[in-house]
Amino acid sequence: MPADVTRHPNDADLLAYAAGRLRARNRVPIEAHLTECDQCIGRLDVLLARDKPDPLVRRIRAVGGPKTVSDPTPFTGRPQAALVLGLSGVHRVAPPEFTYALIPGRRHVLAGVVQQAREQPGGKVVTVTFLSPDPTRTPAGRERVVELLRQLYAVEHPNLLMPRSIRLVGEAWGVVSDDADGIDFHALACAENRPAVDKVCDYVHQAAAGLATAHARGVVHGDLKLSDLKLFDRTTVRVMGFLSARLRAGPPPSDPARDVLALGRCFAAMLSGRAYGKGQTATPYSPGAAVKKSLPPEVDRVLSRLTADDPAHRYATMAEAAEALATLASAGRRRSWWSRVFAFGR
Amino acid sequence: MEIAATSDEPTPIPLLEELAVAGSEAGWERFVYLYEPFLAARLRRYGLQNCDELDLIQEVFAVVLRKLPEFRHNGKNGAFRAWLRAIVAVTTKHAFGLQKRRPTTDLGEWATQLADDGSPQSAEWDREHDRYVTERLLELVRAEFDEVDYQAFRRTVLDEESIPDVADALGVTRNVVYIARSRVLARLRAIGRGLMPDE
Repeated sequence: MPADVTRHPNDADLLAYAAGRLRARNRVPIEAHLTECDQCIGRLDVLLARDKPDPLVRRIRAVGGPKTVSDPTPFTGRPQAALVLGLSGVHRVAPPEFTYALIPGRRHVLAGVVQQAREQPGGKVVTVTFLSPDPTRTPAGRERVVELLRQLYAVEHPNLLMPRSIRLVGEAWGVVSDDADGIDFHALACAENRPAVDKVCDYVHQAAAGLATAHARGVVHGDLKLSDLKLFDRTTVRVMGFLSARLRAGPPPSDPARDVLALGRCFAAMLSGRAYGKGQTATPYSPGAAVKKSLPPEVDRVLSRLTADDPAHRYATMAEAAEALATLASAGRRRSWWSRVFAFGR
Repeated sequence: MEIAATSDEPTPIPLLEELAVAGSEAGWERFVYLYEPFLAARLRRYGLQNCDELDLIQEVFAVVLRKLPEFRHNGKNGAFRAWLRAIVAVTTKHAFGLQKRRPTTDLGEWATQLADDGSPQSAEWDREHDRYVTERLLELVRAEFDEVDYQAFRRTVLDEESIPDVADALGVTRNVVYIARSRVLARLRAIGRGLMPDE
């Protein structure tokens, strides 16, 4: 039904709409009206400029923003000599003379606190993670971090997000990496409109490709979970959290099969929307027959092998898993193309 | 304006209701997503080992799931966060008592203080709770909207850019920006009702 553009909402309704306070039955007609009525859009401009922001908007601003770079907070500290010496020659991207200006707006993640910063010179936006608890409190802790960074610097792949450096920011050490402001896979799995099966196959294949490269260099993640997978620009998946996983989980596991199983569980979570069974957070969700039945058989086959309880039935290496996932990802792309043609024909 | 009820769109169920009444698995996932890092950050300060921390969080969530049908929101700001705080305080003490292990002194003291509404620890809990939950809700809605809608919301609400500037930058009309902003805010309210203050 076309919107009735001659009946304008009153100011209270417009404001309630703009703040997202209306229920769907009241929101939808106003939305349809605003799609066509520039007069009401002009009225909204005036109302929003005049009135105090909605309490929810104020709360969100107090927590998350604004993320502008007009007034950056410079790092107050310099890298400590001992740490820089430890890292000398292994700075892959950011040599010690780089400085960073923190951008307001912190986010809390499982590993600690994440904040964006601007790298000088160059102006590139990077992410600084302040690990909690701080592993560099003691000289021994710092040495351990440096050693871990040395291992991680040797690995480079477009589907991996590795630390670039570690810096003293104020009184805390921050791990600097490429900008990590992607969408968390845990959030994607919880989303009402979570990605379709073919997209999930593509995403998990990308993660497997990155992990296979890491394994080939002898680096095993060891504590892979949904929040370590991030989607950038809605297309590229990058695996992160190698350093915090090592710091939390102890010495690096030598068995890459652990990553294969963990990736399989992430795959299952993305397909089913469940990372854990209800009432559980310690035990990963194991998709039941009903979920598996709804999957294409080829996807179910790969998922079953990734998550097999018996290691003998699981893919032996991440490279093997990546190869199997590649066939699903390319099949998904083909299906999408044909489905578009089919939809057009109809 | 008289508004006709023309929409078939179902009214979204707030997360707490979804979790308590409908018994939804999806509600559980969202609840864990929202609260796991918050609780982990609180417990990690007191030197808990990774496995102890996970066990305790699991136990807190299990109690929440069991007790949530009995929870009645009194309409006051922060009713849920205070209820959750009480559960964390009791569960922390209980878990360590049952295992015949003494918690670190700081953790035991923290749990005791949490049970006291007027303590500095409770005030800090409330402040941090609001911050964490709002942050996670923002992440959750980001995953649910396409990039243009999310950027329209983010740039007008978080970055406080003007509607015409954002419309120009995104290559859409002002109408589209207003609609996207309203949809994202509506979704935030829908999921977070009862969890966030000022609601």
